[in-house]
Amino acid sequence: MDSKKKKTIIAISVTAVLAITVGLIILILNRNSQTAKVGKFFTGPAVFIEIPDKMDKKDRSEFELGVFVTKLGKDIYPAASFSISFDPSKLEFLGLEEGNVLILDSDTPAGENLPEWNVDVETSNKTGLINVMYLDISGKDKGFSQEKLYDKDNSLFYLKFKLRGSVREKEMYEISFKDAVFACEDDSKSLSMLSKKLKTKDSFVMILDN
Amino acid sequence: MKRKLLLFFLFILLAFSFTGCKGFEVGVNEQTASYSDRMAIPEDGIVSADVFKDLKETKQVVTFEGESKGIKYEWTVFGSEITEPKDCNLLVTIIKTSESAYIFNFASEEDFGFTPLLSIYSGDNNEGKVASLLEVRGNESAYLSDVYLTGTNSEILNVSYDSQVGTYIIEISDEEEAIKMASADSNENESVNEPANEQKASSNSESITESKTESKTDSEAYKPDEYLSKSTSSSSKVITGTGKSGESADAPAGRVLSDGSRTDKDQYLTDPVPFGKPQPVEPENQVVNKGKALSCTFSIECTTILNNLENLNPDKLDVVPANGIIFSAQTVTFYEGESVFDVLSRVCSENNIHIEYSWTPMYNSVYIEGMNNLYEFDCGQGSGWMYKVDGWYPNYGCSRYVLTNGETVEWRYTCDYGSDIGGHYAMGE
Repeated sequence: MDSKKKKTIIAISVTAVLAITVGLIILILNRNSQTAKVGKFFTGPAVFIEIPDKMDKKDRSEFELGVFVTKLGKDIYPAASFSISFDPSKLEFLGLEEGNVLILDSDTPAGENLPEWNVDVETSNKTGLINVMYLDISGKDKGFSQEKLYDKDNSLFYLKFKLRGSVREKEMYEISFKDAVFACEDDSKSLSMLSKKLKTKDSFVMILDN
Repeated sequence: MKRKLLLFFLFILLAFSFTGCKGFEVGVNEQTASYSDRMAIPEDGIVSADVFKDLKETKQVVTFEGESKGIKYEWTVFGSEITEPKDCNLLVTIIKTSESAYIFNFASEEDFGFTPLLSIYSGDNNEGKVASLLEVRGNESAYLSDVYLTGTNSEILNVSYDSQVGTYIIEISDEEEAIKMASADSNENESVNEPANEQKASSNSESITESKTESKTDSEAYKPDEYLSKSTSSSSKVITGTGKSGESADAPAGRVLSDGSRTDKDQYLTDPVPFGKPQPVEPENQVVNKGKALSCTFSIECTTILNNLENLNPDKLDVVPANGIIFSAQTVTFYEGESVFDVLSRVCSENNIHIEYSWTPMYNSVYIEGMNNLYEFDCGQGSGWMYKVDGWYPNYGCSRYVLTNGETVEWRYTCDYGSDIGGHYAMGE
């Protein structure tokens, strides 16, 4: 082996060792940073409603609260439903906006599609309970799957609200899950709030103290 | 040259392929994350100014999770409210004193500079109940605001206010009972100004009279014997009693806690001990069990002097540590039945810290005149040493406070009668 080749091999080896060392350091730093940042909430499947910034009681503009999912199980969930309560005397529910979580859909070229959520806005405002539901009626496994979730920002849908004139300064209005389910054909594998296999985290709207 | 360039690119390529670029994405993800905004409060409680700076810039709403003695709590911080990002200590000490009362205070009394929401997970079913936030002011308590109950069983207690100084109470009461109490309370106006109470609350007599005859406002003061028992709010909410007369709140073995029923000073001129706090034990009645070693966290500091150097006796400049810490917080052992003074004198002796004290028969306790050569009045008329146990400044001498296992004792130097360290109420004002 001539000296040129030797030098090249040594140079590449040194470079590789350096790169691996740098990579390891970055990974360790990154891991520590994540440990410190993330709370215990993220350890299992969970859904939660985004908490909005404090609002002025005079603000009558529409605002959206994302409903997010952190992770799912290994199965496919062809149905999902969420019952979310709010105070209809303080907040007006205006409807849903689609999120970015997709369902599996073998009928599309990409093999994925947006879920069609069902909700009755009028009834929700009468009862103070928003029932949102998705159901795969095709029987073709068009369901939710972990593989369609990203690391962050897994929004199922957005709830659109508006403050009513009755809101008061410094008050707090809860928007909370009464039920949440990702259903499997085999019910024992379903994730649900009531069976405690799906964590939930509620939200609230706080009114500014002017 | 070409070879060097090639090697450089090879190096970069290898580094990125190994880490998957993750290390370089952290900052970006933190900035753009829309919901992963739940962070665990670090062990020391301090969340850095950089984090708050990020929140301010991105206007994120972030929740910080913590736990105090098995009670989970969260801070919800609104990025849009942050004006001047700085390090903030988010640790909260929470003690459940009875089925319906929580006492809490903050590790740091420095204002955050914004108004976060504190949510305490009580774990109890509070449906059909109401709750109020009270501030402890010596032997009195003052209504501050309503507490919002959320969660499936109204188990989460939410409070929002902008001061981290002092000790606070969340009082939960039955809604119907509260209405009845409000009604009964209004019928008992005339019995309010009993002689004993007048004597006790001389400085507050005016506000007390007003509070019973007119619609009450926030930050009213209440009489000592009404501590947690008869206060009403501007929204007509009534705080019902947590401790029945003659009963003590949940107490560690051997310790007697105040049930809040006493209204007058004891024989050693001690004001009534607030509900849920340990009653003083006279030194002559203290029994030390040297067969049982316990531990507590102990510290001595005079950091307030650093902010009041203009008032400091110039001769004492040399004895003030640069960081104000004379004895950093650490676990020390003591024997069952020993008082705060016993532990203090041992700590000072073992660590060569100067201490001077005198026995005050009138208070049946020692009085700490100076430590580390820093004496009362060395930093202004209102300066001197005070002690704090688990967030509360006892209103009696340190040789009458018998420690229990696991408590945190802080000796702090005040430059302003305790108000600069959140202990003004212990001065009997």
